[in-house]
Amino acid sequence: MKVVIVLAFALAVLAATPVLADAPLPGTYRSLDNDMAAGRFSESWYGGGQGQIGNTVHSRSWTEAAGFVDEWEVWCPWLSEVPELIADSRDASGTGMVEYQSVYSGGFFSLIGTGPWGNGDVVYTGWLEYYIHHTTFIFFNNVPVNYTTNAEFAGYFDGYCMCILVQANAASGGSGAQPADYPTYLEDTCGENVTLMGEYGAVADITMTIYECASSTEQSTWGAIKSLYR
Amino acid sequence: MKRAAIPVFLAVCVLAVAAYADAPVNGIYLSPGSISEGRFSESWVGGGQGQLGNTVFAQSLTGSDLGLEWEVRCPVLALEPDLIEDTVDEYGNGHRVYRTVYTGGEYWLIGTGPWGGGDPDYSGYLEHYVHTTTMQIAGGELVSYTTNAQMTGRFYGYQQTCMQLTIANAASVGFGGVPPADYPILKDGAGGTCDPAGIGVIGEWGNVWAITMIIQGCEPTATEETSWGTIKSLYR
Repeated sequence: MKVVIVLAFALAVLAATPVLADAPLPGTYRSLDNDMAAGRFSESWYGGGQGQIGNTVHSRSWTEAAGFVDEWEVWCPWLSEVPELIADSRDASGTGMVEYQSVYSGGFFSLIGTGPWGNGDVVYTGWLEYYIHHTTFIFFNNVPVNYTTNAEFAGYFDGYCMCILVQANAASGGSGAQPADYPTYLEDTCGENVTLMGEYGAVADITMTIYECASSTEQSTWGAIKSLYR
Repeated sequence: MKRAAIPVFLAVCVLAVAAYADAPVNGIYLSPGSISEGRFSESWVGGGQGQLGNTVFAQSLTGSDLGLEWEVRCPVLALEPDLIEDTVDEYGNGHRVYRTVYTGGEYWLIGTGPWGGGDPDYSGYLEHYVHTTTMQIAGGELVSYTTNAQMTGRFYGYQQTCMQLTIANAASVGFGGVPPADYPILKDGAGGTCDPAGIGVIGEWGNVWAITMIIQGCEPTATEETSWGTIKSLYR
């Protein structure tokens, strides 16, 4: 009876443990090295305007030659806190730079299985642990002319004990109604809404690191499992 | 003698006003399009990454040529970088964001760009140069980084109001060695100089894109044509 219980428990443990056979391959992948495509982003002004809570990001891989190439996607991190002012060097005329840190919540990612990280699955998906922008605006006479952004996120793969870190540069390409060749504007519930206003731009210099999540990597031997029940 | 003095005086006057006559053209210049993207190096003169004394050198990249259109010469890391965010976990995985303030340095622009007002080239001094850098760290090791760079500077030879403000994206390509030949050389800006860094100095290097440069406050000084009769009347 004891043996049966042990076997049943072991099977249950195996069933509960995500299958790692086709997990994405650990490593660092960079757009600069042509491991992955650069991209484009949109950020809807679902909250009512730039920098408002509820604004939602949507990014997709893009090449000038082929347009959207469906290699990767990040959707639905939404601005969940009032952006934190880091520095403001504007002069009396309102000309200079302003820096913000913007923290988003929620969000998901996907990676096509044919990338260099691919290991058998058609597509890999996951959810974001955090998503943060650091943005430098350049102002002229109190009007924001343009901005550059460092984007960063961490996340977990669905179905595998694998984690992801990503950072990228982004730059403003414009704002207003939904443009045709940029990711669709999203609501904070992830629904598409191309009637929203928003902003959009380019994503480049992507660095993605995939690694085994530290808390789930220990392999247990059969002997170790049995020892728990002696 | 009086006749000889007049042409000399006239020549001096022309020389004196010439520097103000061809001011850069106020406007907004973006890459790609009106200003070229570029590449940068940062020497580790201070002994390692993020150390005081480290010196930036950035140059435009047109085709395979560096520095034909613009340069940023030798802002020096002046304060200990300010850690403004840290998500690195106990296993050494996450991101760190630093804000880094540099001092000194100069910039240079070719005169044939769309900002050109007549001078062969333009230069000035930097009064503000800052990096905001997001570092990706895995297993306790730096993997790569991206940077928002910003600067303001005043043009030499023109009104004090004549200035440029610039932001750009930058990203690491390599670090911990000597840049490849197709990246700016490592420089040492100690003491306001901008000399090549000494033998054995290593550093980091990368790419610059998404440049937005605003030139403002540059007004050509009036260069009214003066008749010979008017000049002669001054010496009667």
